Amino acid sequence: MLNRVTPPPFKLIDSLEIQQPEKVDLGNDCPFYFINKGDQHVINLELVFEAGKWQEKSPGLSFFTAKMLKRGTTRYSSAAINEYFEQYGAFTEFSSGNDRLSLTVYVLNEHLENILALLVHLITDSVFSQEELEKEKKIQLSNLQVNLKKTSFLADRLFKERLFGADYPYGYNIQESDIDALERAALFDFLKGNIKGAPFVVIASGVVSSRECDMIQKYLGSVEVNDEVKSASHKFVSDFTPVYQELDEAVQTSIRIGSHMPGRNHPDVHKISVVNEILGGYFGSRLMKNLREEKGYTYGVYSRIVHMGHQSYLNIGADVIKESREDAIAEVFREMENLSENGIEEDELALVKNFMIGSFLTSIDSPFALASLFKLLYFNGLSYDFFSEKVKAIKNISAGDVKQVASQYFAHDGLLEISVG
Amino acid sequence: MINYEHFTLDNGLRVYVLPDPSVAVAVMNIAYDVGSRDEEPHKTGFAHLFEHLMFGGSKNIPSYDEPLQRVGGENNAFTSADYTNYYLTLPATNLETGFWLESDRMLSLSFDPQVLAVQRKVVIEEFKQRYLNRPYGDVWHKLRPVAYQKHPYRWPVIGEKIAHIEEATMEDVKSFFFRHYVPARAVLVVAGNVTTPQVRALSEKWFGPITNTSAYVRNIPAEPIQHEKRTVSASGDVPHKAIYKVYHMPGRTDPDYYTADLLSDVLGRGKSSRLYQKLVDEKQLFTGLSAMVTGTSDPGLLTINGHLMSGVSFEQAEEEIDAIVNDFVEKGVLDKELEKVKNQALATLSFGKVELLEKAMMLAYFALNGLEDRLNNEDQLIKNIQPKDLKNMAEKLLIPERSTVLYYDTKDKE
Repeated sequence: MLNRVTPPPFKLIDSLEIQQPEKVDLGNDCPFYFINKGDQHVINLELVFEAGKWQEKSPGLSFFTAKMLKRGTTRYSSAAINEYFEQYGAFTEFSSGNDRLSLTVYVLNEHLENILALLVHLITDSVFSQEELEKEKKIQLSNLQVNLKKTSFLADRLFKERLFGADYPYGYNIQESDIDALERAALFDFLKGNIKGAPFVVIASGVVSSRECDMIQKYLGSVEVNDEVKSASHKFVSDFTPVYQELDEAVQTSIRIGSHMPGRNHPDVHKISVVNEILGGYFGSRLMKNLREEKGYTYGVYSRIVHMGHQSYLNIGADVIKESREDAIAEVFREMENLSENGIEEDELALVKNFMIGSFLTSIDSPFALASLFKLLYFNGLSYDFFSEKVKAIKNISAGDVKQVASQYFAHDGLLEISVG
Repeated sequence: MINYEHFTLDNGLRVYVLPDPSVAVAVMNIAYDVGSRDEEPHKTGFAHLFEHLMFGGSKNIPSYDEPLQRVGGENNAFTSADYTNYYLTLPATNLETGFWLESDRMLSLSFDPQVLAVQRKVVIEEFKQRYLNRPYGDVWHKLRPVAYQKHPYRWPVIGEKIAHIEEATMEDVKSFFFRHYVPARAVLVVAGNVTTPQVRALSEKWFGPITNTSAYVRNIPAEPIQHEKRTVSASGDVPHKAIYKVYHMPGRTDPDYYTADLLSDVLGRGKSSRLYQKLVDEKQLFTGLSAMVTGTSDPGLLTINGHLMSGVSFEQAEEEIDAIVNDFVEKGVLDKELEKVKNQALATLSFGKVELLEKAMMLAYFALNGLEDRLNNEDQLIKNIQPKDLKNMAEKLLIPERSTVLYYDTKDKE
């Protein structure tokens, strides 16, 4: 008779092998990294510029630059650019982030050359016309108005604003008035200072054979690169006064709780990520068990450590039953206190360790995932040792460490607390 | 070309193996042939609620998640109108843990009343979070029951209303389980660093002894052909008017599906599509406008939806959409346009085959419908489509009397 009660034996993961990228110089001092892996003839190509929120002088410059890069050049209209990408079945994501702006294209290898030619043209010959800017503004205004009706969106905005202050690039949120006030001249300056002639990094993954490498070198290496982008510096101001924005029509309340955290270069970073995992980092976390699986207050609750170029923070969030708002927040604090005061049993810690290492292993099975992993290291000045240290730290962390790290970094008092809805 | 092997156990469980020695992990994907279309009209949302209960402990294992996490695995699931899909990823060396867990919950659940009580609440919060507490979230709750009058696609997967979820009983849970969760109504796909003999041995060991059978025969009323245009109005706390116009189209299992899919792409996929180009970019009547298909197994909907620029009326918005639709019906597609949407569709297919889990899911869906060849020949089906096919399809589908339109208004009048 088959024994269905006792779990089958299992093995722990000892070591991970992570495929690292190869590096080529494009000839214009811009580095090109690629991961050649996979059997589908597809490629994910990314051009990364130092042109994120961190570098902009007023809200919206980076965001609108990403949009305007597809809105017309000396040769092509906005419509012609969309037509061009779509004719070759290429998907584009031109996105502005906190620290950088990236132009990402997913394309079949057979159409790569056509897409490269267009990309070069976009970064060197975009015109940012007034007419196209007005069109984009209308669309973005409309999108913003829709988002402003979401409690989760409002809570996220307030959270960042209180954590870093409304003058800090990671803290301010684009307002309708910012969109109205945005001027073409300022955008064009940003384009000239941070994209056109600015150094960039190229990362490709998928099937990247010597044919693709040569092509990428030929096109992207031909881009003239002159000046360095000057690095900006900013200071933040926090305001941890709790906020509850009550909205009559909302049927749920979005809560966000958090504080500043040490960055990736800090010696405790991996231990902190283990404690975060225990608290709210996975489906079996303490917060999920408590708020979802025991009380049914929410569809989901998370705790995460967000690392940006210059700052890191803890962010705990959930959309909960409106009437249970206070109790839900109290339970979050109770779980944090519990970890700080009582630590963790060996059995639960062993589970979390295995889970973290296993899910890391399963997260690196595609070429695109390997490229993301590389980006994380590259743009934070880290080496692949970061991951071997991470695995080692996860394996070695003790119940005593968990308790110590929890009480040092996850104290439940003095946290920022936002509720909307 | 993706190579896979296939065998069927004596109890009817269909097993597919997709070996990929280049990865260190394994994926198990089980698709059960039950979706919200199998529900009764007064108990909607049940298939999805049931999916939540599948994680609340099985006959011999009190918790599903913990033992999997302990061996480094992760899992999730989704319910659609057509089927329910469970999947897990774990280090390949621990594959047997997946078999142990998945087979025990196919054998029987624990039917713990506490689990039902809590998951009812969780699903109600999911209902609110996704469909009520967000602008335009209830669009499909308004549109489906008008576009469909007989077919169970007339209610959304989450359920017609919260009351149906509140009323679910343990009796419902038990009968649903024994009716739908049997080996002969499921497909198992195992992918990754595995071999067929290994998967066969594990399948026979863990799933082989499950002898549950069900007499359930799907008997869903076909949606009658629509003969009159239908209009429905709704409003909500939203910043802009929105319009949704839908036409009936072939289901995903029908070979004609691909032609209708490309037709919707020409109309409204991406910023170079006809609708976007004309009405968003040139005339600036909409802030966004696109067309898509619901992609259900039974006949689905080709949907055009957009947000109106302020000052534009519903009547004008619809007239402008109709003009573009009519032009297509009259003149058909340009060769270059067809080439474009084919390129987009082929790229989507290739990118969908990069991740192991996505491949396994795709194969499971096709196998469940007896169409496993589609895994490798979908691209050929798309390539074969000719301009005249699109024109014929447009003439057949895009008929005003077979459309339903939803005007979604702002609460306070502009």
